[in-house]
Amino acid sequence: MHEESEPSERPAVVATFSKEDLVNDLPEVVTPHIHTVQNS
Amino acid sequence: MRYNTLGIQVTNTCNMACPHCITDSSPSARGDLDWDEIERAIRSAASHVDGICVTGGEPLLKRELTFGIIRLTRELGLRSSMVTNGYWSRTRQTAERIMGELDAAGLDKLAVSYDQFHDRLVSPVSLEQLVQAGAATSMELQIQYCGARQDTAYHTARDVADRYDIELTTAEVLPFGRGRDLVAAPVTNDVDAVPNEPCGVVTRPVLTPEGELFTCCGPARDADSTSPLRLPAASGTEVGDALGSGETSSILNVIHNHGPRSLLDQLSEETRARVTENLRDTSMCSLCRAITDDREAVAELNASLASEQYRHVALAAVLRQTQDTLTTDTER
Repeated sequence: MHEESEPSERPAVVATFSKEDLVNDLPEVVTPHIHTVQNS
Repeated sequence: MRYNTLGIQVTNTCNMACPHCITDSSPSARGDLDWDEIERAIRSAASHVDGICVTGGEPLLKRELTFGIIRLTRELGLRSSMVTNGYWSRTRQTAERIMGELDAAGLDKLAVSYDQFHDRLVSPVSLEQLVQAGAATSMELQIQYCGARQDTAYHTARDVADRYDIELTTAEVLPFGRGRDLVAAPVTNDVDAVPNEPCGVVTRPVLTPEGELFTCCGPARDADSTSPLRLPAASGTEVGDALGSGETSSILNVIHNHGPRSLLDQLSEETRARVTENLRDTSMCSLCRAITDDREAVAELNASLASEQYRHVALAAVLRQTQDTLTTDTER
């Protein structure tokens, strides 16, 4: 038996989306533009 | 959106004063983070980032802090990286000793800046000694070149990268920091010439020696006080909480997913015209700063993007997954 975490600690679902819909919204070019080099 | 790497800018001081430096670092620049600030920031940020990058200034001028960060990053199970100008590789012996120490401390990746400005202090021989010493370790190595790719330094960087089979990244000089005096003003404010692509820098936040936290490790440091690129760490908020607030920002997620150009469509005609007039050049960074520094533009964007906030966050997750899959496929 495992302990249940407090309800307040559980992530809450605030919205749901179809992954298929989201994939259709992806930009044509998905490679991110890295335009400066301070952080690697 | 999920952050990639938190940059810890340990110092503003650098033993070089490159004319393209976006952080205005130089031998006379002052300002360091102290260990208590660094440790608190890294522990607080650990659940929000995949890695920690030590940056500057030149991090190895603050050797104790730099090695402390690498060890703490390893202890927390995060990926550690560092950006250096490589000044310490003037002899083969020194290059091998320092590379060995970085490897033993747990550094996963070392990026060396090398271009027509950096090669005034770091010779092609020094660059090769550094890369050769690094090739004997388990570290990933990268050469970071900034400029027009038409100079001797680019060919040196390309040659060394090819011979040791390491990554060479290139970037343009940006009109920010000291680079503002180097980049010629645009002949036209041609917003259509700005690349229309996702931004890979907005997920690389940086903590500066002044205690400021920016969601972008690019040219954000003199951003307007209300800019969404500026996260509220300076007001006493824990770095992790500040990062958390940025993760669900509609503006930041749209910049991550589609780039700043896509934000223009959400602006009124008057605001769009003003933003376009404020372009410093046709880089994505210039457009991003022109939009995010404009308080009316930010207010208009917050109003127009609010209803789709969670969709932008969800799309960021799908995009990141797609990008990670492409990276994995390329590495195979």
